[in-house]
Amino acid sequence: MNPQPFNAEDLARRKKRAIIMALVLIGLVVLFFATTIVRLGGYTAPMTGG
Amino acid sequence: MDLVIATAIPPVQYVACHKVTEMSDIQYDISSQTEALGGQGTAGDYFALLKPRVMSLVIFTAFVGIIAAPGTLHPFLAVVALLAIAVGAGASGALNMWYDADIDALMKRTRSRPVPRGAILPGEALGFGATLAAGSVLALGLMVNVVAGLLLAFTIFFYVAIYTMWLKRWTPQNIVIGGAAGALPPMIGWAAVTGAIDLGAISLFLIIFIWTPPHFWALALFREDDYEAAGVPMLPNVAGRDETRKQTLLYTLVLIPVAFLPALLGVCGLLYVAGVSVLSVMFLYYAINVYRLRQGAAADKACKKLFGFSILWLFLVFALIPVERLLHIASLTSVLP
Repeated sequence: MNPQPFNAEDLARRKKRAIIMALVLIGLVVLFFATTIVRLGGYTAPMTGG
Repeated sequence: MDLVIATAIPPVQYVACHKVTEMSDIQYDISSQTEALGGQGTAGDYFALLKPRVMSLVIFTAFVGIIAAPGTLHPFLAVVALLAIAVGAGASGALNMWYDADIDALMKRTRSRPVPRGAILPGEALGFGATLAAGSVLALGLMVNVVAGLLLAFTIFFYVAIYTMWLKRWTPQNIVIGGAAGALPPMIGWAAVTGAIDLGAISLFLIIFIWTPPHFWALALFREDDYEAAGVPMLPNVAGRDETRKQTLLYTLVLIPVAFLPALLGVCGLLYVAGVSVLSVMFLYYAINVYRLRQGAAADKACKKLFGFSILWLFLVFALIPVERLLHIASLTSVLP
């Protein structure tokens, strides 16, 4: 069995994906925070509909 | 750690026999084209899994649903709703590419997609799609409203389970019933504003629902060989080209009055009526050409023209609604006696 199945190119690709994932997670944190602030202002349809 | 992951993932043996139905005879093994280790996909490959072109149409129609709905929604929440709907649409695309990898590998149009190309493993596409689906539904339900979130969940379920896994390989009516999934985004946008499903939202749904068959059958008429090779029972392969032409024209005749429904319900005004009148006459002209021209290059050209114009038609019909809002044009019901 090959002890090092991922070559340098694979690892570079993985690193790039990890950076994008980190940015997405940071974006989600900002999104949730901003949404909370906006919702506190009451600009939305009733949560349960109707 | 990498070694542990590598040994935990078995070599791909993705044979589609388990999906074979009576009407489609799909026997294709993509194992030779996929890497056993996984983790080979680039960010671009993952983006391609989201079917960005389909996603752009979903974003646009959902945006029109938000604009057309009575009531107000904070612009930031409107952006959040569109983002969640876009991600949900992308999740549907990824799950579709996971399940359809076998037939995608057989069609010229789809064989360069990340899964049949071997850039992303079927399991990776499944995990990616399922995560995005759950995340988008939760985000829309929690950050905007529950009705919109439930509608998005139903849309993803309908597209993946009802259309992709069942109808597509089983019946030539696949895109007629499956078209409901593509028709739901404006209704989700509407529900994001109102928290409810109204007649106005249903009228927008019906336009896309009835538009889908002539749009896809025009494509199937000049891509018949592709679908034949993949064993997908599209109407031209099952009922014949003449019957498909007839059905295309019949659905176009139904589509034209349906396109006026939003105006009759007070969602749109006179500009919409005028625009839809002109566009629908043109749609009918192209559909009649598809029905009339049945031989040689002229027949293929007529199908391609209808397919291309159908995309433009849907875009312009939906674009008329925000344009009217921008120009403050009154709805038809408010100007009629």
